Amino acid sequence: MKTLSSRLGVQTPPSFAAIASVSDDNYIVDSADQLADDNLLHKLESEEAENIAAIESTLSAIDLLNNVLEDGTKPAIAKVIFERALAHSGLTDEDALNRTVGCESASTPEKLGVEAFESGKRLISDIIKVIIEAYKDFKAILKRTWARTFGRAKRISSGWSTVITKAEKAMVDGMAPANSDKLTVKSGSEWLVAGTSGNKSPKTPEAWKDILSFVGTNIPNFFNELDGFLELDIDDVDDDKAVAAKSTSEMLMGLAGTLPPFDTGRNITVSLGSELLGRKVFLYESKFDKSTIKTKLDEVFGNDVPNDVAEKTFKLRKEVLASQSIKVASSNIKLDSLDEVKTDLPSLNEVVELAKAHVELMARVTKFNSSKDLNRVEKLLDKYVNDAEASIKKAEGDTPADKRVATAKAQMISTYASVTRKISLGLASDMCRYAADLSAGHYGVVKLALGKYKKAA
Amino acid sequence: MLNNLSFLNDGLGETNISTAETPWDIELENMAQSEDNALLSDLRYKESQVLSAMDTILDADDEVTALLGAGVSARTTARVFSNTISSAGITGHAHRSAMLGVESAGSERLGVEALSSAKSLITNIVKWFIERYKDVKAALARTWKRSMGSIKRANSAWVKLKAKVDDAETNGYVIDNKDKLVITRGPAAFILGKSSDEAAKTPESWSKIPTHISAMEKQIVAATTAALKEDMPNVDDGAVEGLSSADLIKLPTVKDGSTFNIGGDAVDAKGFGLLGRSVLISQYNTAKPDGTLPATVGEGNETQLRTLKRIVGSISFGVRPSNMHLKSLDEVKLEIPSLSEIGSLANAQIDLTRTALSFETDKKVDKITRALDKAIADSKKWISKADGDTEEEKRKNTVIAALKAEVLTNYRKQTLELVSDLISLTSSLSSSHYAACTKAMGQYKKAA
Repeated sequence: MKTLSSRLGVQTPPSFAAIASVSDDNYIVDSADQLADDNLLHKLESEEAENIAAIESTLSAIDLLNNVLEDGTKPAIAKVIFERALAHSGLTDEDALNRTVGCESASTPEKLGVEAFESGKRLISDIIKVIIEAYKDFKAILKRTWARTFGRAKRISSGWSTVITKAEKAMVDGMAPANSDKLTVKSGSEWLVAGTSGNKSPKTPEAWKDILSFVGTNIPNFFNELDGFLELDIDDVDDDKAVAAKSTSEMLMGLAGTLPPFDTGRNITVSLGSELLGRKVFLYESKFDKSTIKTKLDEVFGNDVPNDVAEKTFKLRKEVLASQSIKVASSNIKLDSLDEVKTDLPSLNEVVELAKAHVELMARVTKFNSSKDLNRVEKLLDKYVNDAEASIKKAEGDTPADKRVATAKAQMISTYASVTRKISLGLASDMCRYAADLSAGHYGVVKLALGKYKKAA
Repeated sequence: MLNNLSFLNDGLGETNISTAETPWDIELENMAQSEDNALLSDLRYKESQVLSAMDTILDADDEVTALLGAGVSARTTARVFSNTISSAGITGHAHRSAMLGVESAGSERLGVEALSSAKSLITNIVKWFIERYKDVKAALARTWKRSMGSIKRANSAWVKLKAKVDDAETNGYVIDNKDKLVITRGPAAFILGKSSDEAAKTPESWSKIPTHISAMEKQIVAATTAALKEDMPNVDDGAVEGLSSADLIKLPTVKDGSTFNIGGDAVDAKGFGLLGRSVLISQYNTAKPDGTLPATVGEGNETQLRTLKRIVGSISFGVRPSNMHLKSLDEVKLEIPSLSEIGSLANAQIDLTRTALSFETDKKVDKITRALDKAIADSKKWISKADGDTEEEKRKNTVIAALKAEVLTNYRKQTLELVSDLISLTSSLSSSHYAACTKAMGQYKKAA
């Protein structure tokens, strides 16, 4: 894919300053803006993934060059092989040629190896700079999303308060639906369904009491897990040596946290997660299974993970970190025939109970708005960016060995920043949005239900 | 290096939608659209990865031929092949399978084994591509339907607002002289006419907005009509099969559009200003083709077909704001517009939304969908062909299948997506203006 060159060549847009308002009359515009931000976020995430992959590809190109030289390949051919390998990392042919210009004059395999490493290092430094720059946009988008979510949560909460007032008045007035009345949910019914993840069961909505139980118990539990995430790995935020001194095993344990495990059925995948809105939600996914990680750690370090800055330490940490996938992902998107579902009307008592549960849920969502934990996470992320920048600078000087180590460290830190962003800001943002979506879905349904209640003749 | 292509084995499905009527329906619909957007973004990303991977895999095979020809050892050549297919995102089991015959082959067999692996990898990718195309089409169809629903609602809201404005004018409504309109949301979509950050901070005067909308309406009509019309003249008689290479790279042109540079030296882009942003309609990343390209898909030699695939793949279509990064736009204060200005804006928006709605019944969209379906069937045919015949024919047929996939993507972007994006943008603009107008109307009171 010939896109790396263009990413390196084009300045990343500066971050946004505008944050969403929470005024009541603009939620439709809010939604339109959020869709635009979602697209932008996805684009940035895709580019980030490609940039990280391009770093790997560049390292592979350096290794390939060394290997083919060891095989006895002539330097002239080895240089072309290296150039081609760089081009496959996403550079244009011309850019690949320009970036290996020093290799032309290398007369011996040894000199070519050194020149190739220098070329690769410069390329990696440039890619990391792009990653760091894009990080500011990530943060800005997440903050806007966050602000909009809190705005929604406040509006939704206010809507539920009105529902409580109306339902209680309806009880006093002795309002009742006709016996034959059914509730027909025409849209977004997947948001109504809770508790199960199979494709079949969501077609038949759970009884209202199950929904109540789900909202009243499961969602707060989920937020307890979120609390846990926000507390992860930020104890050393004020310590300059926090990142450098953090051992690989600490990172892994920190990332895994205390989440409940579940098996996704793939042998090489360890996933931890929970269920929300009747879907499996991935919180953490590693492409290595636990025993593989342990074996790898034992192979490289034995039982004791050193704090020194050996290149292999950083490479392994980066490899493991990059394998983490943290997201709130729906596992049963492909629900069919959900455009119209008929269900019994909830009683007014059930409506009030559900409304109260949602008021609490939204209070839970808005609580994160003022959470100091978030600021701490943000500070930590900023610190990682600074650390990565410092490492890039280091990679410009010193001995070849130091340069390699500094390059590896910069990669590792930028990967760690990416993972931490996903695990903290991204995850918290997704979970709050999920809760707001659920609440909005239920609110729409309850409004329909209340419409069926009439004053007894 | 691309990311791991393990998603080739994943499955995806559809969700259903219905027409929203109440504000809460709209909220739900927006949630569903948000999911579809994520689905579309993900699919588009993966699609771009696999289309690019096919080129890299073919390169891997070329490299094997070149290295063996230069007398490089089988061991080194196999290493290079391994590295290149890894760069294409082929990892894990797929990588091991692809390397199985290659690793053990000597110089005399290595070329054959590498070709066999490359063909097999590309065949699998095209099969995945064909399967996923259905998901893209379904997500686009849902998006289209929601956008049209949104435009209908916008149209109805503007008609009602216009009636209120008329009523206020009749009853002599006025505002306090000190009143200001504070727009705290969506100002980037609210502002028209200029694309620089500085200009965007100072909104155009209200009297100019209807003129901008009318001009924009013409541009949208031109771009949409061009997208719906271009390159599909023979849709009922084997259009995709018979498309010439010139057709493949033909772009929808906007008569009064300007050409602007997106940022790369080798980029030639066409677009126009919309919503105060430069909207990209098409973009080449490579030099325009010369006369060596084949006359029609399926003809020509492998090199020509591969060149054509790269050119087709380098064309980018989309409604892309160029100045998304506007700063300090969170709060804009401006004069309250007069009732006649609000009325003119309402009229302009009513015209715009009517125009957008006219695309809903356009049978051309159906025709394009049919043509795209036919292209899918065509790709499948070439995939089947790639399993038989001579080595040379296999290779050429594989390249044709890859080219067909590229062409298919190109047309989808050029037609369905472009139109869908323009409609969405119209809807977004309308929502933003409507919110501002409603706010402005709230400042008017009956004279004491």
